[in-house]
Amino acid sequence: MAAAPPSGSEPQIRCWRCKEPGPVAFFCASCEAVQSLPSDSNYSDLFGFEGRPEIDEKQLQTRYYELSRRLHPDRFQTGSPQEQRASLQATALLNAAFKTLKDVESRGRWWLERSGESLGRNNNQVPAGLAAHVFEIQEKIAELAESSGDARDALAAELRQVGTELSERQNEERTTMENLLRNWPGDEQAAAAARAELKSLLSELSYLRTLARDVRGALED
Amino acid sequence: MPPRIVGIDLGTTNSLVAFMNGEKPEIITDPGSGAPLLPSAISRLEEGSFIVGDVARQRARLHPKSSVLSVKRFMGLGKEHIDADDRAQYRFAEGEGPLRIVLDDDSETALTPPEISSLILRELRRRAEQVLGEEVPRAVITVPAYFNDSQRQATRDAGRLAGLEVLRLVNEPTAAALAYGLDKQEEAVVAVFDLGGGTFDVSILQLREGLSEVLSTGGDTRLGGDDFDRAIVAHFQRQLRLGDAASAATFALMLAAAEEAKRTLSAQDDARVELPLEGGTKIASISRAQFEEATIGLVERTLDRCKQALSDADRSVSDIDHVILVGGATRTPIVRAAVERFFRRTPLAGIDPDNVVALGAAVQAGILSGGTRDMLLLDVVPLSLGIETMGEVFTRLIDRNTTIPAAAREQFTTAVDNQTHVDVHVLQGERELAKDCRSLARFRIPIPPQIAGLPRVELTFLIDANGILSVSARDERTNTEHSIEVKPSYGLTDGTIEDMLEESFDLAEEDFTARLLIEARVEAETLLHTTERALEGHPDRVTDEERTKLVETADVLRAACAGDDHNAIRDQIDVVNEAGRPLAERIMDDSIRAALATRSVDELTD
Repeated sequence: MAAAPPSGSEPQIRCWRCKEPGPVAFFCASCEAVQSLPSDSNYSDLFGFEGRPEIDEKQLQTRYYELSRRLHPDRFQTGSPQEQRASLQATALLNAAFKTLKDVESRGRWWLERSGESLGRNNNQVPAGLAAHVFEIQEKIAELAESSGDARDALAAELRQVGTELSERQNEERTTMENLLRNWPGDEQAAAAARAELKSLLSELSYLRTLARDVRGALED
Repeated sequence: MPPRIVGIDLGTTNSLVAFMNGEKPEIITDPGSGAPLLPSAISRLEEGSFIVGDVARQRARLHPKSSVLSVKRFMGLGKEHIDADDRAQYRFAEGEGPLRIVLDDDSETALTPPEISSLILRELRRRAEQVLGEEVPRAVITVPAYFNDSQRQATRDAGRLAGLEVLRLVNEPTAAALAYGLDKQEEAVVAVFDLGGGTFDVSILQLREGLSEVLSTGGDTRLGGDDFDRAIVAHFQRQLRLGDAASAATFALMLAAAEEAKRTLSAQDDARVELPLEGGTKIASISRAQFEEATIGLVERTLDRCKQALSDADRSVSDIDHVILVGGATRTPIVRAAVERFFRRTPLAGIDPDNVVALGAAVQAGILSGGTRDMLLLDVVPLSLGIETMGEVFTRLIDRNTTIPAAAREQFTTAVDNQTHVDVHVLQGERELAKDCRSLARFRIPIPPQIAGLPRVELTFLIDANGILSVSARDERTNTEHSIEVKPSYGLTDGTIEDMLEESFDLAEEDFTARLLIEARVEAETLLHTTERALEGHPDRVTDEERTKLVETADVLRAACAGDDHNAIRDQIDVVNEAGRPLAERIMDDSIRAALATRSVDELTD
């Protein structure tokens, strides 16, 4: 896909109640009826972040709670069946959007997919930047399983250190990703480069997580 | 004013109903006895009608085959979930159809767990209607946060069978937090430790700005206070060298004694109880230390779940602002102490742990009827939900602890030319393979025959605010919607529910006098039974004169039971009790002496 992710474009839907056309929003601009929105609605738009991947976490949280209060099916106990259905669907969409945007990694993945790319399901290859490191760690894990006594204690201490390093590295990469999303370029050529960086960050993070889990698992056994 | 909504705690051991009395939630007690708890027990009388509650639990001791206790354990289960322990306790109907419990060896009249629960709900509803003096057609019912889709559906169906519109199923821990009014606080992280009769739940909630959010929930639907009782029974069996085999009736008696011992140990260091066994009454004893040893494994299992729930919520012990205890089993000092040690803080215990959930349900009922409390519950789905895909693999569509309502979509196509349908198998669980997860439903979506890979069917899974799943399918090429009936695997479809509503069985004790009569009869029957057993088991401990008197008064009692004057039965019960007193006292002395003798032998050999 060549075009930049849709932002500011305002598709229109018609309100189920008053039939007036309006922008994609949880409530009809004319009659304020709750709307069930298409599932591919831009999550960022729903919270008023103009379709961009840059999210202020505190605002996101506040708006999520505000919207939950207004949209939740509990608020429509005495409403019409249509209203109840719309509220149910709208709340489900709101919850999915919030969950996706709240975490930088899932937000990054969402943004990549909205840009027409995906990480792919078979993302098992060791990212180039990690290969040497991975080999070393897996060797240590294997040694730990066969060791005993003082040697084992020493190896376990080393692995614990490795675990700390892994989580530090994950935090660094998440910060890098946050910055990347915050300064997402408008220029298509720059955006393509940003997408490539986002993709490699996502795949490294996913690998780091698996690695960290293996280390934790080895230490628990 | 619209009809009032009540809050119901449909518990494993006991159930309660509560309502909002102005701004305050209040338990509705039994108009006759004043008891707040309704034991979740049912029993079928010889003539076919049912009794519920304490009188049913009492009758269950003599008529285990006519009675069901702790039916909540079976809610939403299919036949494949029934284990050997369950079979030791109940008989289940053979053949096709939903799980049904056989009463009195009569397979024809077997009942499903929702039907049995509906008897309890009807009794609660009647209690509420009597006390409030108005119709009570709507309710909020609580469920363990851990309940899966089938179990939730079964609970809602039980409500429908009892003639109640169930406006909301609320998770028990959330209800507990509501009862404590913690939602009024600025911001707090709360752990709810709920050890009920049959289930254990732990949940981590976050409360802020009038919003309650379940961060995580964990537990065990097969761990509860009953297991503590069973551990005590096992201890008794070892102590008295009884072996583990016991008839259903004996086991029920031993369980009751174990429960009594557990209560005693809450206040004292030692407990002694009488066990009315076939060979005569025996005395069993248990110390607090022995109790602790027998149940340490159970306590540790609960703490493991607490650890898991904290980690799922991404919180540590130091983040917890409050700990709430729920369920009668949390009165047990060793449980309380273990919770306190684990969370490093004194748990809240201002509200009776038996009442707290029902009171919270009433608060939620008040909110739904448009009360003044501005509060919104955001619950999560307790178990991941997905479908079976190629290679019998479980593919998750909605992850555990996702906030509900939640939706997921999945596109399907065909693998073979001219397929006329796609089969979908919906599962719930955390394991990798389909066979290790809980099967929720199977259904078939019809599609027009086309070349393989061409059809595009989009399935939408929608979980509502009660945690209940519905599924719809859309054929993207023809743009036609299919509404899919999700037939829960426990087997009650809307159709069967309607049939059951038509059948609607007879609940006994429709009026107060009739009820007093039944209670008196059940008590008389119990007394006659123990009297006979005492005479048979201890023939040399009674004088001829005493025996004659006992037999005569017992006959009069039997005759009184045939009549319908409950006062006459009550009076005669007192007479028989009086006539049996010397014998009872002698038996008691004997067994205490025997118990002391056993103990001194034990002590010598140790």
